[in-house]
Amino acid sequence: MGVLRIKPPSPDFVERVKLHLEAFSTGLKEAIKPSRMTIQYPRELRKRPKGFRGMLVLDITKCISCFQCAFVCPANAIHMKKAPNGKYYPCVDYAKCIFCHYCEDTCTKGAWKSTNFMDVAFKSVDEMFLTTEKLVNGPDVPEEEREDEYVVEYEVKGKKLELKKEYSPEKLVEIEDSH
Amino acid sequence: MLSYESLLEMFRQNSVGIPLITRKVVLYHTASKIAYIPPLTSLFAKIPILNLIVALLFWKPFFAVLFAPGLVCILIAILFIIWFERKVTARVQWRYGPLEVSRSVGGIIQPMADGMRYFFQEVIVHREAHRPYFLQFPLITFLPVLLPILVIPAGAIYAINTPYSIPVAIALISLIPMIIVAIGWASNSKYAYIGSLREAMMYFSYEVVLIISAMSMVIIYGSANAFSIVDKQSVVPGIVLNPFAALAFFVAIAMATSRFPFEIPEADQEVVFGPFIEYTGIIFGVVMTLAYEKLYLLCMLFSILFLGGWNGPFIPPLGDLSPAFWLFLKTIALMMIFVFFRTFYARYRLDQALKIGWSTLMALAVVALVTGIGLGAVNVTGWL
Amino acid sequence: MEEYSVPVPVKPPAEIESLELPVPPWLGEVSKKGDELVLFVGPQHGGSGHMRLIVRVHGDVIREVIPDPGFVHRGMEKLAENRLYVQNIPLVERPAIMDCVNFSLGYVRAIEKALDMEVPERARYIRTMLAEVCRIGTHLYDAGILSVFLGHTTGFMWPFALRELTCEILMRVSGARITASYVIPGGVRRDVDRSTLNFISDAMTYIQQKSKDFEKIFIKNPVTIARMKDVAVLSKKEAIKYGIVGPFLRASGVEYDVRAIEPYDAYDELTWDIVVADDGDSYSRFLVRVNEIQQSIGIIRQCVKALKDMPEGKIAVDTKGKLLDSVKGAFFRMFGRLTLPAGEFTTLTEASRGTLLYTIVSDGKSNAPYRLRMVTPGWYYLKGFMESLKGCRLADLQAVYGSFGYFPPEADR
Ligand code: SF4
Ligand code: SF4
Repeated sequence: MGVLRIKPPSPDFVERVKLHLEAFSTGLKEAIKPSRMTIQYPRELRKRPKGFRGMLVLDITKCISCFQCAFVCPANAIHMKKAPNGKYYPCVDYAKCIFCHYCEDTCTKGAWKSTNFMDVAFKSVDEMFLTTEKLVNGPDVPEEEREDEYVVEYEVKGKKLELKKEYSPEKLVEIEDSH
Repeated sequence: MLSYESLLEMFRQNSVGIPLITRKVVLYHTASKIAYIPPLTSLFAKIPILNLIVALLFWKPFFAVLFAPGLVCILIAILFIIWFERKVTARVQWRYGPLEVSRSVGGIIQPMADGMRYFFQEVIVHREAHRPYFLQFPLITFLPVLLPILVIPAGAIYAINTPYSIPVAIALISLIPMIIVAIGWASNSKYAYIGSLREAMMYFSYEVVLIISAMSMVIIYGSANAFSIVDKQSVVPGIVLNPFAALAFFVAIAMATSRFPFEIPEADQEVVFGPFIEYTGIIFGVVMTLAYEKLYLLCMLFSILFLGGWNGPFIPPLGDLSPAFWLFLKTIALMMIFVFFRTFYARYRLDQALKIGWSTLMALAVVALVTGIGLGAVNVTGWL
Repeated sequence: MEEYSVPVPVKPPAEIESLELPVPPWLGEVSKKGDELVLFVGPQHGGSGHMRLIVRVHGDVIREVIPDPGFVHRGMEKLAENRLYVQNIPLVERPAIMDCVNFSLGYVRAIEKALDMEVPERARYIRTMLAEVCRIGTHLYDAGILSVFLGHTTGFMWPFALRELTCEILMRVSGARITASYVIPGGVRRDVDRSTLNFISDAMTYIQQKSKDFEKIFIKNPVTIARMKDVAVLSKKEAIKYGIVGPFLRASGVEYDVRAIEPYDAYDELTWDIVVADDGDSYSRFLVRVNEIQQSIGIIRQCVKALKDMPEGKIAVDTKGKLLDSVKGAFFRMFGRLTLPAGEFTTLTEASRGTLLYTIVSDGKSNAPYRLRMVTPGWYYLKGFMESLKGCRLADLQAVYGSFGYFPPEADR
């Protein structure tokens, strides 16, 4: 482990002129051939990688009402509600949820699953509380309001950053298969 | 007393000739028939009051101030340059810039949309402001912006042909900082106070250089009349004759119009738009465009002094408007260079700007003046 | 020279009485006399961040700056007292979200210290790698803020765009772009696969290549040099006296880096240099961080190589010393009833902006900390930041602010 002692440059007049010109030419180069990396949301969506921590889906058949997820949740976002069959099932309050997915890691039965989706807007605070029924079906996205055409992924090829574009999937919300 | 007829005659004698709209437009032409659209101007020629208004509009002094190179051209230039500035900065910064307002044309109507928004925004006058001045000064700024147009000719279109056009124009343009300082005073807030102090300091640092470099060109040409200056540049433009003066004038313009790297009075991270901090709504829109208006005027002066003004191939359909068109083109090109500085410069500090103004730039201006006197003494433009 | 007084009709700020400001009462009098101007910068000012700076200016020269922090104080330490140990991980990374891994790393190491856990090798390398990714992200963020404070908008956009790649890395590794909550006591939450490792080294190549352009347009821009060189100088002695930490201390010539002095995770198994500069001015404070980005890229490269050579799996260890391939389903068993032995456990971490201190006090019975002490680098160097401003020009206020990369949410906790 060495020590790197840096010397700040103190350019004289000639060097300063050169540096001015260098800054100008760098700007000009980008103006002519920009290396853009904007993703034009909502027309383009960013590709969510495998294991993305998005909205949650509950597989109610696996849940054994052990309350562990509600216990571990750091934001107190999980409420256990009594279902008609007498068992307690989790509900998620998205006003509080911080998408940490401790609940997913907690569940011994693998009842929680993640989706690749988290661009959701609710019309009111009350709607942000998702009851068990809503959690089972996954996030509700009105298909007719979709604007996205592409899914974009950053990819570095050689020395260039490429925006790899694919056509949007038919279904916006994809539930991850458990691993 | 001027009679109605003589007034009309006076306007018509000295009117702008644009074949595109003052000539008949022939639709088709067969052996027996000629069908044409009557020219726009003769439409109202017989109607009493209207003909006077139309004649007045095309009266050269009025046309100069109102259309080209005056108000309308300023407006077009500002709308274009604001769009261009945002677009080119976005390009360099790996973004797209304004786009959503009109995707098909690259968002070019974005400045207009912003203007509309300013227009419908509430104008707030805060409690501490000197209310009458606070509201008046932004409107008074149009005076020093439009008055120089009277003495800056655009080829055949001119208002006043005077042997002192360049000095008068510079004198009138340098009234603008006064009004900015007054705006800062009327706002009566600390940031406005600091901002107008900065404006005054900047004024102090560039004005002398601006005048010296302009005068060195006047000495070379042996005249301060814009017509003879442009005439003498028909072969060699002034920038070749005296590049030092051009450079000094160029940097002085950047300082005068608070372009980068001298965007000091308005520095929005430091003094939050400085003198204009308290303005809202359309009045803010007016004061914000002030720097761009000044940039337009000074770029026009630059192209007259150094780039051969309205010299350019004549375009027949435009008629008198053709030289004005060339001048406008050169001005816009210059403005584009100035706004491009935003993409790769930070801003200097006030004391550094003052130092640059009074050391490097002043030395450059003196060199320019000596060159000017030298070239003027041997009457270089006489040989060319 | 004769002096003229111009009556400027600016009243002394009414806030001095109406708000409880941390200013001496004579400050109102100062602004009445007219020789000095008392200027309130922030918290809604474009160049102040979430804090108020009360500046006494004489002409254009700053006499004194009094900070008024606390606008984003969220009471982290108190909040931490009624949460499970594991629930505090998302909490402690909130103060500086770009720096999330470094922040949770310090807290997690304090727990590991208490429980005497031996973290598996793979987890150590993943942690080190991500900590350096976060360091790059934070330094880029600060470079962007510094540029925009100097008025250089391109210098603002480029680092922010490059930071997007560090966010992408975090997203591919942990599943979230900024609040990773990735480091847990005993290891990390997930394994990193080969394609992600490839992406990380590609992204590092791109950042390295683009930072050359950034150097031309901003770092070595003569305007930038003129604005920052010899401004707000802190000598070696002063820097030590005011308790500056991190890259800002190293910019004053002190060779101190927690990663080197008390190495944690994999830092002692990698080769890298401590970046030091001697001038102690704004420019060297910036340059030190620019060079640290290059060092971090080197560290990340070594980590990627080491991780590729290692067998996959075994990324965590539970309290009983059993190695785990994945923590899925084991969370409650590991942390649900976690209690620490009674005592005080302190760790030092080199976060991006400097030394970060955590002290956990445990009573040995409850499953939440009895007390969590958290001192962030921003809080350490606030005093030095204020002292260095004395004698600067008013326009330097923002430039020095940016050169320190001061981040109010981090300092206020
Ligand atoms: S993701 Fe985190 S905050 Fe949200 S419900 Fe699960 S445990 Fe709670
Ligand atoms: S941890 Fe899993 S099984 Fe237990 S209550 Fe939650 S979802 Fe159901």
